[in-house]
Amino acid sequence: MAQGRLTVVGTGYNVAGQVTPEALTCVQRAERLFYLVSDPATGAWLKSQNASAEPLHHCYREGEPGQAACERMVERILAAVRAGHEVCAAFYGHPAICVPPGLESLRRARQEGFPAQMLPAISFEDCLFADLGVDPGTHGRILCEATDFLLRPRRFDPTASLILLQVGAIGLVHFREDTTPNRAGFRLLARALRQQYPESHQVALYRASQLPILEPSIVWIPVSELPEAPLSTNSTLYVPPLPRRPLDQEMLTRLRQAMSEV
Amino acid sequence: MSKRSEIIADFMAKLSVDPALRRRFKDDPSSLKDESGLSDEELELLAGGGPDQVLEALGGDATVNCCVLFTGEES
Amino acid sequence: MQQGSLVVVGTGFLVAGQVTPESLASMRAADQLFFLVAEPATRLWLESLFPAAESFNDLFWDGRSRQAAYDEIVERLLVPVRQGKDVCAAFYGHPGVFVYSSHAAVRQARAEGFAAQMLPAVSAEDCLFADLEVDPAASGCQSFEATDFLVRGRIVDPHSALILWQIGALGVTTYHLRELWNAGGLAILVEALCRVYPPSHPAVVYEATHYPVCDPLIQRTTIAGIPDCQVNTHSTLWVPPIARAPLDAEMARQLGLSV
Repeated sequence: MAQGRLTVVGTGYNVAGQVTPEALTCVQRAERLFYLVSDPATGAWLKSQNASAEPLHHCYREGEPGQAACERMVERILAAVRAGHEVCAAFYGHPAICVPPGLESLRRARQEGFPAQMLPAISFEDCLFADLGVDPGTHGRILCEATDFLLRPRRFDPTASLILLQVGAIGLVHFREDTTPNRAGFRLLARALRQQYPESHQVALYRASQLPILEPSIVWIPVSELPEAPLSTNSTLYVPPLPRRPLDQEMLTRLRQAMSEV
Repeated sequence: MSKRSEIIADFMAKLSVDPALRRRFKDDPSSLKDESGLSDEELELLAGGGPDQVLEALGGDATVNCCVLFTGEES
Repeated sequence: MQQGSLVVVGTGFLVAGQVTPESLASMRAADQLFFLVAEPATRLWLESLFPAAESFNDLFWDGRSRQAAYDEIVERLLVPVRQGKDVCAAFYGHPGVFVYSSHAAVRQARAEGFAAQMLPAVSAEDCLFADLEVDPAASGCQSFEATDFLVRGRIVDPHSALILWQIGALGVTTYHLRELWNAGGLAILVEALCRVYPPSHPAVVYEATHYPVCDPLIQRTTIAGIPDCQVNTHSTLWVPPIARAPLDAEMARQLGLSV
């Protein structure tokens, strides 16, 4: 029997437009293609590229924790790999970022002795950097999932950019068809941010465009107006950095001396 | 840029869009002789060497790290 | 809006393999194409598709201030835009990540009344997450340029992952052709990290591959072991979290979550 293999890819956020050529080759050639995407156009396009394409979103059940759906998806993918197929699993955005079945199916396949690989893809952050004109290298960048940010408080550097993922879905651990954002959870986040940033600090609520005809949604507001700001379940919050600390000249000198000593 | 390095670059571009072709190359470099237009020796060199060997085969002109950001200026 | 526009795109890290269809379309549509890439196979591939494309690689030479090179890129891009041309600039990786000139050029073009846009591309972090098979959202991810981390007193919490870029170029502001720009500085970096982590805590020195025939370089070590690794200017440090941060039970209650 032929040996099964798994390649996990991402489709980015623009139907076919942000799918890398190496990922596209995998999508087209797979004997079994599974996909979890966030819009119907991408799903339709994937089916046009590979007739074997099977959606994974049916694995979600109303009222069930997301973990159960993930398990179901991983099992479907692994069953195809075990059957000896060349399998491709395609997820929206970048398949490692906040997409549990992406990494989990990879780990499980390898654990069971099958070759498995993940290809890089365009993430929601890549879109944010391009649309908002932000370079994470300039001031540093802290990325955190919003519920995790609130539930497990940590020190963070407010003189770096802060990107909070899924701010409209705080505390929503069970799958629901209803896409109403969690306003109560968002207000708690707003309160936490007011402790670190001035009331007037401008922040952006951002949603990448997912269709070539749509502009990204970018709303800039001061921290003080955050609690009642327009919100969607797939909103991301970008908090620009506070002015950074002065350069530590002594450290810079030490580094330069270390360079010349080699 | 020599003709050889152009052919090698072309082969790199071909491999870069096709993970299955990359695996075939890894398993048996000489099996891609026709696809690549390269000799057995060249294929072995690319398969066995690291990025430095590949770079050298491509003509060695690598302006790497052009976009390192820290400029040491207050801004 | 005036005639003349600017689109900035990225080529990713694998010759042609990570150039998205929308980026390629922008390159094709341009009257004039400029590029800055990290190695010759990508350059040759671009030149085979676009023989009139101009490279920015000649703006960098041994000992030149990088800031001067970056400023020159912006100016070179704006000149044809002002002449009414549709200009495209292609940078390796993601054009807006660790690339000073790109955002500056888009801002300048818009300030002068021209249409300007940046398209996303595969970034170095995207490669790191795929190659190391880690999810930055799992425990949070803090990402800094290594020199910046040291000279700006960056606050780091060990309960989130940490990425330090360019650990091989500590304190360097000019361009060099040598492979490792500050080996001695690594000891200073380790000293700073040991204030946050135990010296035996795992760390990974990572280097993405630019070639489809080479594997990424993944060296699994500890904080203390960093200076003994093969470190060069492409090297990135990944430090996993020590543990998950403790749960705030009161917050969980307010969110209606069972602890």
